Amino acid sequence: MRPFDYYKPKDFQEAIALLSQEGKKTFPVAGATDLIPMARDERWLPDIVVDIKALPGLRELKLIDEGLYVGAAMTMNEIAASPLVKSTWDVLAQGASSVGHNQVRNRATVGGNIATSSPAADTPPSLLVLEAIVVVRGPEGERRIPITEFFLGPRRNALKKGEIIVGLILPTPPEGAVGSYHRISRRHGADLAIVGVAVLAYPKAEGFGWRVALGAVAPTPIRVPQAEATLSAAPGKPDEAVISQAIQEAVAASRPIDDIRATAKYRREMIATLMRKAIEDVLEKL
Amino acid sequence: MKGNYVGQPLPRIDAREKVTGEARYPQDLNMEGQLYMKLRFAERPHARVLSIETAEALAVPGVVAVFTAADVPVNEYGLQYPDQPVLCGPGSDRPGADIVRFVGDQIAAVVAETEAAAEEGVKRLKITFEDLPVIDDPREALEPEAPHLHPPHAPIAIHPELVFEGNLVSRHRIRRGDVEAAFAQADVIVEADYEIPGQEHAYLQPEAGLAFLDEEGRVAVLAGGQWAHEERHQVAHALGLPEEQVRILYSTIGGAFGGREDISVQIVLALAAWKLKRPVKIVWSREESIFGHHKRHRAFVHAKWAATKDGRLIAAETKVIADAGAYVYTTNKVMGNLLLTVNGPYRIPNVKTDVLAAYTNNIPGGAFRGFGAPQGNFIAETQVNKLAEALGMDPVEFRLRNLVHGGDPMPWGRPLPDDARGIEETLIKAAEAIGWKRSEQGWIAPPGGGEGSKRRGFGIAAGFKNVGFSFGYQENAWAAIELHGEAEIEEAIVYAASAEVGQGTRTVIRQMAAEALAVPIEKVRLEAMDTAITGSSGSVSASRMTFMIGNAIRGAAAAALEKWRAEERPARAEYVYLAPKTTPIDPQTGYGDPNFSYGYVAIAAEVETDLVSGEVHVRRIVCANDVGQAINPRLVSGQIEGGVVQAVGWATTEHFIQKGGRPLTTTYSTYLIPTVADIPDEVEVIIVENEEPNGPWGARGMGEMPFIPVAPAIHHALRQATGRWFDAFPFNAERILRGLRKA
Repeated sequence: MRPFDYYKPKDFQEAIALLSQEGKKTFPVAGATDLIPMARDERWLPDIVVDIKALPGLRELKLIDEGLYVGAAMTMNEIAASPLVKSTWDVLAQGASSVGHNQVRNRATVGGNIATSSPAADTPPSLLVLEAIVVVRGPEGERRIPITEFFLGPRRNALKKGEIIVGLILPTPPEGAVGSYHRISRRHGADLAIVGVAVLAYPKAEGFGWRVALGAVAPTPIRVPQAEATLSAAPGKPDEAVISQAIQEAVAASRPIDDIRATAKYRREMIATLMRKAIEDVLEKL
Repeated sequence: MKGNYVGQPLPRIDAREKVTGEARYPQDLNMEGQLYMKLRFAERPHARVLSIETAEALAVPGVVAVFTAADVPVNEYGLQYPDQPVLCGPGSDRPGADIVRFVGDQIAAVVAETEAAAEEGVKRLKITFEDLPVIDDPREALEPEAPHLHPPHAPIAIHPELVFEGNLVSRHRIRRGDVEAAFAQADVIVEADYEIPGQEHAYLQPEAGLAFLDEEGRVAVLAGGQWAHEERHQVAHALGLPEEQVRILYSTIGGAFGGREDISVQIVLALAAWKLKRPVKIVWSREESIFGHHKRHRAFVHAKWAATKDGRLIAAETKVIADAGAYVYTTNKVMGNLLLTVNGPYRIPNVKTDVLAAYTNNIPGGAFRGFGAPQGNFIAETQVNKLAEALGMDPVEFRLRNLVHGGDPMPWGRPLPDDARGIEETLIKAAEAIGWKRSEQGWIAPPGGGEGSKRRGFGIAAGFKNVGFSFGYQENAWAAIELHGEAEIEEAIVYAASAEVGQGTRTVIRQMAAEALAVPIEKVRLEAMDTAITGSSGSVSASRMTFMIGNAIRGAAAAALEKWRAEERPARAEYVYLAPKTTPIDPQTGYGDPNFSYGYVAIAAEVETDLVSGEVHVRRIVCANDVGQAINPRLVSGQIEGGVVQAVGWATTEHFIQKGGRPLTTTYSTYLIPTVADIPDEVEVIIVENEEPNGPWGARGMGEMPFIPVAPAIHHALRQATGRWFDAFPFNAERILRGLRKA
């Protein structure tokens, strides 16, 4: 591992100043569960690492007018176990409880899970169907990025130099919404998802509104609007024909790759299998 | 035969130090003034090393020396055959030593005052290569036009199976009866191609060691291995030293499973310490460990077996081509065991077996728990399960009709030495424990079933394997006992070289010595794992150590007690146990008397799969193992549970992938050993004790047995659950789903 400078500032001004230094590779970290193994192999070569866990507000989890505020440094296990999250935003708790293994979930944070911007991360599909808003602070102050605009490619996102994810706003979903996250991996513990699927549905005037997001089958986690429209257009609960059509549309929207974990072909089949399971889960609870 | 200590479930003597962290593994050991070594590995599968420039590396502050091929006195080594250069590159007189043949070949060793400086030095080496064509499939390696990966080697008389014809490393065969005539009379024939994967040992402790000059001026290597005296021989050979000038010591070892049977760090460490006259330490990273040591042999198989409708096996024709990788390691011996197990423990009058192993540019194939038997057993037991099905006969019933009994000859022409009643007993016990029922119509398998998309199935497989290397090799083990005291024995010191690799040998040695001497176990002290004070006990492998060292301890104890009674103080006696004679097998027919003892085992499995995802979960494994006499039933249970879990990994989650000679699974995020969420919900241990006449207190070997029939039993259970045979594994979700989608 190449040496680097490590700071743990207590205020944003210092943190942002450290991260904004020109000519240096600067990175904010929280749990560092993804970055430390990369640093060890020198696939990640930072000059300056800024630990953001001590910054004010990053460990908050609270109800706000718009819905739920989740501090960026909240860990996966904290989110997975939170009665508040489970009450209305349970699909995020399901995603958070799928990450890595217990020890990793004790350190890994929700901010880190999106900052890493791995296409296979487990919380982004849930955050996509919850239409989360990423709250960011940087040299030019605070800004809000809709989660749909956050991911740009594998390990690429909309953050600019010096910016820190401070938290996520999860808008309160429509009354009666229920969600489900399903994922598959090569083994049951501690393995990256081959495919992840999040589904959220809620009653509307006629029938139901549907949101569907996929992980690990495209360069970024994605929503699948056509599939959502098909499901949402059904007059009541979608029947088998509608579900099959929506699944086909979701598969068509995906762009999976062959890699050591699975072939693209298997990934497409698993989109179908997991999306069906998630829809069935949701229909049972609606 | 149980006694005061033998047969008692005592806690292992090293449990406390391992749990508390007091146990010292090679990477924990340091000496004053030590240097650090880092190796430059080939990192390419096949290339000629044209030049190595060391000047920049030597200029790194702290770097003390760089060793290359030119510095190795005798630049070759190998457990069975010295076909591997210690360091690859120009400058040594050994033909072909300038070529790297797999990614883990070692090119240069940089030694420095700090680990960081050594690492920097490795980066500063300037090496030019000429890449050579890569062979990554043993079947291609045997094509007539394939380039030869080694200069011609001379076969050696003691290993007639090592043939060295082009890339063909070893050849074993059995010819018995007339398979073609039998096929003509058969009622059912089952023919299939199988592909059996390799496996990484995944021991907890990556390779590490410390070499130094001891107080008597010997070059000493302290590392983790399986056979200290053989390592001494190989180190001495490469350094051009007499063996007395070399000393091997083992500290606590973090697992082995066959993966430490071959040299890793020992020779380069000894070379540096000998030349620099200072202690030198090395610790491999996990990635270095994974590409730097050998793997279980991958194998490609064609099998055609036949039976008659009254349920008699009449013919077995099997051809196996295994991947030896870049060097021999123990390939010829692994293939010998594959040969003996590939026809199962059955009466088959007509047998034609060919087992070939070929050089490739993959990581070498070598020793791994089971040593060829898991591959052989997968073929035999899958063929038998398929034949039973084709006959409409229960697979337990079919086996019982065909198992060897009493004096029935095995395919090599001799019966199993002790009438092998453990095979039948373990089979019946495992089958009944998982739900097979005996009825008036014969055996009835438990029904499969399942809810929703989940389907359950049950499977069975029987296995056996030789204890010890043998095939004509005179198996031997040395032990010494020293009795101190005046009127009474106050202390009994046992000297034995047996390596403690986690299996519990230090505990059972003390139990057996206390039993043999009739002294309280607290008075027995063990001095082990140092060639300076012990003779050779042989390798901890081939399920042989308890059998061999137990007999050596019995002999030494009897002799020491005699001296004690004759008033000698201290009373010391040494004893070398020689196992019963065996013979090599005939290279043309496979006939011979290759082993003096065998272990017997059966596995029954309950497996669940999901028809819409292909996910596989092993719910339950029952292992019935005839261990002769459990010296320590608690340790036997631990070996069974560990062996089963390791085999479940091989069968389900693990997959060692190499493409074009490059391993793609060199981390534990890509090479997936099972986690606690992936192992069977339940492993039921059934210890069967049919005493082995030659074993100490009736014990026979067992360390490998529980591994052997797990994969075919899981395959069989998946057949019931899915209606499909897969014939290749690991049985991961994608493979299962692909099988289900096949018309």
